[in-house]
Amino acid sequence: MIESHLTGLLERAGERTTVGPAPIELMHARVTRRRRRRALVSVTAAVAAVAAVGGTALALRPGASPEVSPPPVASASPGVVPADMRLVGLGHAAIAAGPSALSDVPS
Amino acid sequence: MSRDDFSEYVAARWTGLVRSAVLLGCTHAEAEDLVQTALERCLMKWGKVQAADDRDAYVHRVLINMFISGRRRRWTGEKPTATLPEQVAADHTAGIDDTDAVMRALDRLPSDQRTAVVLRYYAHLSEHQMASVLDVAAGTVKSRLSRAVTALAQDPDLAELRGTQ
Repeated sequence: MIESHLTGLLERAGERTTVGPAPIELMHARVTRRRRRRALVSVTAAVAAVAAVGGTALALRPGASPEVSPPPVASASPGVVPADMRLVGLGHAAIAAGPSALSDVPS
Repeated sequence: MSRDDFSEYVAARWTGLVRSAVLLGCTHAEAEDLVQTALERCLMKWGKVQAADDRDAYVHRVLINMFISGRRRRWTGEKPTATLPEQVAADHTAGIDDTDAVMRALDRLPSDQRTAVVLRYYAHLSEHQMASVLDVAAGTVKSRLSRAVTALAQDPDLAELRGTQ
């Protein structure tokens, strides 16, 4: 019994809702924009992937490994300090200073 | 051409889809937004829609899935509070006319039964199409419809409307 009325009841209830025209152009515009954005993201991701793969291949190709330079070491022993100079420093660092520079330094 | 095909489809179905969404429980503005978003999603893959056995079932499936996930998002957004906020509810004070009675009766149905009623008796989908749209077995569709129709038959507002009470 109710089933035979339901369609009519629902249609009358639906008709109470006034529906404006469909925003078809707006939908097309939004989808076009979304497609462009998606294509841009895809291209960017592809370029990034190619760059990563290419960079890795270049770095790993035979003979491409850069020469490893020895790490810097502390300077060698200063050697002989001239007679009129003396070593002045703090901790492990020292410089050779002449008498004029040493006038203010307490001995 | 797919653009013209889509435009023709939307022009023919827009009103019915918006009204279906209203009957599902959306406000008017929500219904238009929901249908627009669902149709845009369909347009993104319009070739797939064209290739589908049943376009209406496909579009309704997108619509129902978006409606359900929208409600789910709203649920997760709720926060417990000591004092109840002012609640926005549908205005049922406009009078006891048949539309209000129908909407109140639909509001009382569980969402799965309400969806089944709208798809069957408003969107005029077959039980087979509904099974495809809701991604459930045909037997489930039948049982949901049966329970919904039983509940609606006992609904006091609809009984009053039919003059049986």
